[in-house]
Amino acid sequence: MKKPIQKTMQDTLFLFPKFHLKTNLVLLFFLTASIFGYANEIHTNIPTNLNTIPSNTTTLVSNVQQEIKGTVKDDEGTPLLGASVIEKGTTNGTQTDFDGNYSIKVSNANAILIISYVGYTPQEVPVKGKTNISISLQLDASALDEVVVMGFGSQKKESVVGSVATIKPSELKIPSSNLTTALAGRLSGVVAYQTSGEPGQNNAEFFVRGVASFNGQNGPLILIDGVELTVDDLARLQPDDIESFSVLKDPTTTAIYGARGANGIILVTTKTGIKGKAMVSLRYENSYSAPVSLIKLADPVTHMRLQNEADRTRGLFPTFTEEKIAGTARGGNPNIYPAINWFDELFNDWAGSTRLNLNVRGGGEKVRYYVAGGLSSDNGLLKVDKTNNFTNNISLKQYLLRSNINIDLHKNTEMIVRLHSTIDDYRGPLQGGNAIYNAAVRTSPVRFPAVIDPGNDPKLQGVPHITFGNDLGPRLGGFGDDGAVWYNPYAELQRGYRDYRRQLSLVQLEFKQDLASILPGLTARFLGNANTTSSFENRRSYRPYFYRISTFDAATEDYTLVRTAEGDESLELDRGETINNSVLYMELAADYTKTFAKKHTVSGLVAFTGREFLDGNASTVQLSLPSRNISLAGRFNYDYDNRYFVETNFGYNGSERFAKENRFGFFPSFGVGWLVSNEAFFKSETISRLKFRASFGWVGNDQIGNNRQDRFFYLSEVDINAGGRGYTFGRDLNSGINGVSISRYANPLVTWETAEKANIGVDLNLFNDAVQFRADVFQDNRSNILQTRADIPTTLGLQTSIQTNVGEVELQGVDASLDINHYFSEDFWLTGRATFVYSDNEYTVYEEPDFAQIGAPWRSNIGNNVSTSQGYIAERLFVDDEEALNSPTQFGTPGIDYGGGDIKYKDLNGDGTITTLDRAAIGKPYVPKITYGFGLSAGYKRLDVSLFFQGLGETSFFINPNSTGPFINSIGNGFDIRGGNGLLSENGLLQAYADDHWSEDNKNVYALWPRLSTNPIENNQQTSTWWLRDGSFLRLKQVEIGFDLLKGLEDKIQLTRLRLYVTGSNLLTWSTFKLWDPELKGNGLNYPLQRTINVGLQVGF
Amino acid sequence: MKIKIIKTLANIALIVMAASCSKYVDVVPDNIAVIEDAFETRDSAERFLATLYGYLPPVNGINYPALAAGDEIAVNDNVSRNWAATSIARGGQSKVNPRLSYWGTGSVTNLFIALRDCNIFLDNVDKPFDITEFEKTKWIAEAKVLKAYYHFYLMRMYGPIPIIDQNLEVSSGVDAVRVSRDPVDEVANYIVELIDEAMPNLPIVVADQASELGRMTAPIAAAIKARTLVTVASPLFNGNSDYASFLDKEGNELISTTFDAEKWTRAATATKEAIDMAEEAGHFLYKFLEAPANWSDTTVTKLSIRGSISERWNEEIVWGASGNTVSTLQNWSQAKIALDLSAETRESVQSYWNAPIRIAEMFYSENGVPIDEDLNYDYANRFDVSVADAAHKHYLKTGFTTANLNMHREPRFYASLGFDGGIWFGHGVTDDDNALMVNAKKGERTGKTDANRWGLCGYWPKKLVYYENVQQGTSSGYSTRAYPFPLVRLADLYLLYAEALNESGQTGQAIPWIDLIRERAGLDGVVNSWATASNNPTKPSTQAGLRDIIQDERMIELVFEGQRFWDLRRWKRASEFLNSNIRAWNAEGETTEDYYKVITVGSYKFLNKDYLWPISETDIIANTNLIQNPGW
Repeated sequence: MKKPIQKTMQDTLFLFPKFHLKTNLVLLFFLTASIFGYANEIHTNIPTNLNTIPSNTTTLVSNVQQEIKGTVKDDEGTPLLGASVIEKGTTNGTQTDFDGNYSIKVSNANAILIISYVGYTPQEVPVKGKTNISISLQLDASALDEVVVMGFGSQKKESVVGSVATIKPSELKIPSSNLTTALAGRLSGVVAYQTSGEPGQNNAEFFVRGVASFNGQNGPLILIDGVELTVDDLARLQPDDIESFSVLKDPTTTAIYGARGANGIILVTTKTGIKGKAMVSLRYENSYSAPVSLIKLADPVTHMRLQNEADRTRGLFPTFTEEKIAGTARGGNPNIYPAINWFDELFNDWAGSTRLNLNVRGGGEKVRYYVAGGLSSDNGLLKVDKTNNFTNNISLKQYLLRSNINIDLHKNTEMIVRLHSTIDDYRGPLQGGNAIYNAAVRTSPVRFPAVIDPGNDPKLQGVPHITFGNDLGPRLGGFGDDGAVWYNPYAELQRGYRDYRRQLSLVQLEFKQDLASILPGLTARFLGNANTTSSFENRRSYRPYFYRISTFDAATEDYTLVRTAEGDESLELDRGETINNSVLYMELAADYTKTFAKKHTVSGLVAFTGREFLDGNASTVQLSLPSRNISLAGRFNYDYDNRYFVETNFGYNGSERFAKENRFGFFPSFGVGWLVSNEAFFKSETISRLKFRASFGWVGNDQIGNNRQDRFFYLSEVDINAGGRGYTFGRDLNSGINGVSISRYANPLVTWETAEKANIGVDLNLFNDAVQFRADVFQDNRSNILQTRADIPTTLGLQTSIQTNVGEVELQGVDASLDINHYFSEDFWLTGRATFVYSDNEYTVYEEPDFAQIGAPWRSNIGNNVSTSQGYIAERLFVDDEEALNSPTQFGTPGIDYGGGDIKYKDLNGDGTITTLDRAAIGKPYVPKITYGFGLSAGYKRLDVSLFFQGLGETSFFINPNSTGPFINSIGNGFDIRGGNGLLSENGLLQAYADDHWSEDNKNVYALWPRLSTNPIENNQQTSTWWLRDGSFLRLKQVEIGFDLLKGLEDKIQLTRLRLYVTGSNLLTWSTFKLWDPELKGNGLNYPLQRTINVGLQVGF
Repeated sequence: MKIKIIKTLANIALIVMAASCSKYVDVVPDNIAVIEDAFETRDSAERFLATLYGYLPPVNGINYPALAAGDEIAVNDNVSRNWAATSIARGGQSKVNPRLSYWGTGSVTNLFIALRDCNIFLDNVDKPFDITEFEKTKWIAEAKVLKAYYHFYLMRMYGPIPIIDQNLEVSSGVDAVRVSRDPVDEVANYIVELIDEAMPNLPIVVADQASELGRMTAPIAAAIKARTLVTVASPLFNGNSDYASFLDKEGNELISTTFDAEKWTRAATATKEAIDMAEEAGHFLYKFLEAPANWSDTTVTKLSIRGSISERWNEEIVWGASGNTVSTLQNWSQAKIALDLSAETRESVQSYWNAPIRIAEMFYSENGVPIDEDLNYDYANRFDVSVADAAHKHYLKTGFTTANLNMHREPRFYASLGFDGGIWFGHGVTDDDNALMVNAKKGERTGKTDANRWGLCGYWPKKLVYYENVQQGTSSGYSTRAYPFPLVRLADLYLLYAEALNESGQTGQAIPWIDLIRERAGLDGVVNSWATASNNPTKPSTQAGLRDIIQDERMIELVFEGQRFWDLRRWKRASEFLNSNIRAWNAEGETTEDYYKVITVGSYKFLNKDYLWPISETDIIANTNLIQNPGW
């Protein structure tokens, strides 16, 4: 019987995706066996381990027999088919059936069962007289230990010579509908942080091993089931649907992508069907979220007193009368004496969201399927006014459908059909949540109420619309809008809403053909893919009616209103952005693996791909042209006796972006590996695996410049009918002629960025793989970085700057991961994981003036990290005007534009004025040098608990002195929340600034905030160390407590899984920065990150 | 066998693939617009020409330094604190972030872009297949004049500049693109050369007025040439010893330090040529002619003065900025005088464009001489108040108590300024006996009612406001009739000519040209006026005396037109004028007593380095051949 099975195996091997190799060996065994009609015997008698256990050992050796029954499941509750159950120290064994059930007769009551399954940590269970032993196996931390998904295929893990980070998909389960927010700290080598908590806008920024360029796209190439998709598409993946998630980091693994691979690759594959009865898994989660932290603002009376102080100290008339301050202090009529907490007016305390995920997996003889549906609904924190009959709170509903079907067309041919669609259905405020959050801080608390009560005003009794508050006020700069003067964020929030729907639809067809008949070991594969992303947006809004107090009788507190802006009540439509793009992709690959003379294994692959991206809604001719990529990629591996490994990869790509001569590029790489622990001389009880790896190669990045806008560097771009560029003539001043504008000058020499990468790594497993450690040292020397020419003077008169490939950056770093898996007993297990990445870089070539020659060597960028800012060095605040007059000139006229209490800068070159030559690199990089995370999970009987901490280190950011500057109108200074129509705002006063600022009574030259002002002080708004803050933090990112409700009830309930769990995220943060959540960095006024409490239920049957 | 077939097939596939690959990624069709396409047809070439006009610096708002960065205008702090122009006026110019720069980094417009585009146009204008020879010649001439004007504009601000005669290739070497600055005299000669080439090919008047008025004509070209030559003959650039050490890297003077009288003669010739050409084109000093019989002469004289600017395309306008029309500025300058404004509609004019008391003092007395020279004018008590009599009812509200400063002044005073108690004719009222007036005390309709829309000093530049503009009591707000801002008008040329004649030693011949201006302003001639009213009766007979008179006349006649700012600089008198306090009537005053107090509301500051704009430090660092202006 043995022989025919082996033969069939070889024939059928190719049918299955390689990463399932061992699983499928088992499956195959069953399959073939059942064909031969032995299925029933196999069920009970055939042990699993094909290598060690002869398939005919079905006899039981012992005399005192005891029958034990039970079920084996994975950590998700899915029954494991074909898990092996062996009595320790014997050859007695069995396998689980379709439902994960087994039954075994053991020799005595003190026997120990070894239960194992490929990819899971084996477990030893003492029988101790029990007759029912059911168990959940934990996924091995390196679940894909045996095979690793790589570009265009997969590879045996032990033969990998490069650097690949993998993660159990279940670790990506977080109480959020955005997968990108789970990456930080969980994958070694991934640098990530999140700067907004707004549903739909909360993608984290993430980079593989940091940022090695200062131009263009720095994010990794994202491939889902082999097809390039966007960050948004990655964000919407459901962890439940993910089969494998790997990050390719080093030259051998990325070079195969040639000019697309320099920034690393994220490779995700989705689950496929497996033969067996339909297994349904359902997850339902309900979460409640509230901001991690809110900015504390000063109370209204303090606000007014300090605003008056700000006026007086700068020689202006005080804004508020004592009468108004007193009225507010005694809590006078809130329409006359508004004291608004805009956070309360605009936001609720918490928001809820719901997620539902359902999948069905199974299959028969010829067809296997995985079908999943998902639904999530996230809500924002915005308040909805009852008077409006529409809601404008953020509501993001995401629908997801996935269907992966594998069909065996023939014994040598498999067809896979993948259909996938995600839909985002969004409703939200016109300007987005970030703008509204900003406005809560950037609106005066005392100018006007959100809505002004008509009171006894006879002409406004029964007014049918919302009487939004406003005030008479100063108007800066332009004129023309006779309407509201002040930006009323509540009115902005309530006056309309925005809907958009975004849909990704993907159709994929793959054929796999075994060509063993031509050459044993040869397989071929074809993949065709079409996906479209479409999105449209509708904005509906009305013009609000604004009122302000007209007359007020202090005695009776009667007042009348005056309408400051005419509105209307009917909604008007404004079509928003429309996205409509389509991608066609095809891939043709051949794969060959063969072992010669037992010791020499040779494998290789060649893949040919073509991809076309079309923008169906392009605004210019150049944008409407297709983006195309074509590539030939290859890999060759050789290993000798599983001890020595050699690998070479290459990518040869072309894209339409560059001039003919520069269109195609060749990117080779080489790697070697030595698996020391497989050497005969290596004998160690503790070290179960020791491997050294090294690789070197070249990879490219063609996503330079402003991506699609900047595609054709070799062509000039001209608008020969540009509105706004011409001139108007004629007697009636109305004969306008459009002009010509040049947005690019041709430069045929521009080409891709090249990365020269090297990687050296070590893998070390201890204690029978219970501890797994891997570390890599890496280097990425990026050259040909597109840079704006610095030595082209403005007198050349170019309408736009010239860019060429001149910059170079060197990046170095270390990443490491440590995994621990241990079963203390059948009921008690522990797993832990820690990751760490340190990545630093520096400009090595950067075109800039010869600063050393000008006597300002500190101005040079060479040697600095690319995300470190240059700025002035703030010494302290000026003691008084006198000191400002006698110090080097700064910004504006000393004594008039700045003086005592304003920031004093260091005159680095000592020329008596503070100029750009006094700027130097300050602080740490914006992109953190260190990203780390560590977590521990433990299970005891029904209970499982996990903790995960995450942190960033070696990073800094700047407080924005404009957006947080008390009392200033930051709309007129670059902050534009409503299309620039000149509405006024007056920033609120942060409590921290109220408590600690320079004032004439308290001339603290190290105060947090300089001398107050109601106008922006140019001198204080410079980028300087004054505003620099440490961005490092450590946070308790996630805690989960789960409870298995099913345990012990298996026989009574027809379920395979019933688990209830509670998850908390962003629970605690440690940081030296206190004004807001440090992860928001300089965007502290944005929609804050959320602290979430989540309750979930998992059901499987 | 099988393997062989596969190999062959694979080989074929590879060859086909290789060939189709390079095609696959060649996505760009032939007809993509590149720079050359701008010159394919006449129409697209004309758009390129319009682009060149489009670079004309704005002259109607706060980005034009000559309006708000000098001492003619003062705007309340709440509004103007962050204006670049205000910063300049207060001495806050900076080389790190040059305010209102027109050169390079951080500019309002980098005029070197304009110059490059002028050259692109000149290099390619012969390409359109359907352009006629006549049109081509005319367009070349227009482009050359624009190129000359942009050189002039930069020279006036920066002094020596690199002459951009030909474009440098984008791929030129670093040494080639690091241009250096050419001496002012060379720049001026280059400008003259360009204009001399262009002038014969320009029309005297625009033929198609409906659609082309505003385009270059021979009189405009001649006027630019005249202004250029006057500028380089003036003290700032002619024999200015302050610039003795302002040398290029070879040690050549960038601004001449030895006075050359010949430059004035050359300027006089060019100015006369410009005047002759303008008159040939039909330009004359504007007078309001359509007045109904019942309007007083006073009213008509005022309208003649106001209309010389604000009457759209009036005959005096030699060059009007057709693409830069004045409407916003009228809104800013309009005093709130309408009677029936509600709180809402009152806000429809900004009303904060104001002139300091110094400008009010500048105007002559009713006898046509400066008030501090007038024997009959009580200069010492000018800040006291009196009651206006009925004899001046078209100037002042009869019976109204106002400052003596506002009484017994020349018609241009009343035509140019709106002030408390002053009559503001027009604004929807057609009966000059019942004209509207200004009531500027706090709480009154013209006065300060909110924090921003109020005049800081109490003098509104009425001259800039077309007399028919109306601020309405309904929500439609303020209706304006836009007019092209006058870049060159005949009065300006007359005064330039008078100045050039006087400076080149022909003092006597200068006076008739001044008198032409005074006649329109309702004043007696210079000689007579001084002889009868001045405490210095022989002042017009000396070159220095007449220089004073011409400069005063120029500042009065061209007030609020953005000339004073440049004139004070070229006369080297800016430091004398621009280090002073800003004086104003007390806008917080609610009573006559409180209002008519002269208060200081700010100060102007000017250092010698401010005569020339700083070049951005970034540009100086990038081009090691550039020399920064002295003092920066």
